[in-house]
Amino acid sequence: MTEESKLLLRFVDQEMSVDEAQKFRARLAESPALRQKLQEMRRVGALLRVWANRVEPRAEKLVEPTLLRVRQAERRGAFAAGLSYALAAALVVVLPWSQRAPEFPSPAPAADRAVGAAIERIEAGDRQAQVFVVGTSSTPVVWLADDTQDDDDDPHEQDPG
Amino acid sequence: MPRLPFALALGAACLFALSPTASAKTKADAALGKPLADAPEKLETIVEVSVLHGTHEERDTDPRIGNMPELREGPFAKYASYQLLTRVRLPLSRGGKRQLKLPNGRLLEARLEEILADGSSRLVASINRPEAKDFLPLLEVKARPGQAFIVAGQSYKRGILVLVFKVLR
Repeated sequence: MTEESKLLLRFVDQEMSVDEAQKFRARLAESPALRQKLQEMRRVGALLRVWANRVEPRAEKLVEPTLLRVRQAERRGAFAAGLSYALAAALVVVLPWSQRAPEFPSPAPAADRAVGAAIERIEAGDRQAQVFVVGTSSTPVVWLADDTQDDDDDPHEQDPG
Repeated sequence: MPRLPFALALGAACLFALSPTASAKTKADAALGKPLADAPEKLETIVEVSVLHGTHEERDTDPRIGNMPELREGPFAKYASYQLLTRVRLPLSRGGKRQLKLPNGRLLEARLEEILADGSSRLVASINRPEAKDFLPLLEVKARPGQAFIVAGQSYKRGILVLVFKVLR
């Protein structure tokens, strides 16, 4: 990770002192490239926050290790690789189906189903990947958009929404 | 020193290795999740992979799939029925890889990254077609025995493939 990337992370995380932040803002004002990197970093951060906010309490244990891992990878890896590739092109997590099922009671705390497996990292290139859980299940689902045409498939049907 | 029995055994082994039966078996093994050549023998985790085919055909869902309420929810519910195409157990050990040829021609490759202190396995999988653009270069999952995860969305015969991974041990 470059010094610049570390500074960006510290700036985004508001870990800089007032003086440091002021100097960094001045650098940002002078450098369009740096501004673009900051914008990308904030976009990914926002994506992850949207993801986290949509997760119901029962799925916290599913998502937390994933967020932690992503964050660690983000700090470890090179900036460009970390954002453009390792963070899975478009990693969008939606939980509309779990929110739509209030009629189901909470699942029994059986050891196997109380906590699902944790998706820790996805590299999907430029493919759209969505991670979610459905219904009362904690089993994580990775849904990949497949643009491969197979006979007379309708490509729109591969989109989970 | 009993050289003759040894020579006979060696000769028989060579003949079997060169026979069409052995060759066909090797190819079949590669397609059914047998280890690649560099895989060590020590078994540490077994992952069961069920390959399901979701279609719009109005028919009963294959009872061999078992109880999977997920298939009636969310995007899975868009498909009228699911059939079990194959179910394979992939014994995994650290340092070894297993491959499974999927019905759509892509190759699933799975390996065990590590066993964690809490008994869970960190698994790494990829799905790609040889000599084609990467489909899923890498998926890393942490799962304990009994836990599952699903990879869905691949096009196949007017429907989708749903891969259900379950850690058995």
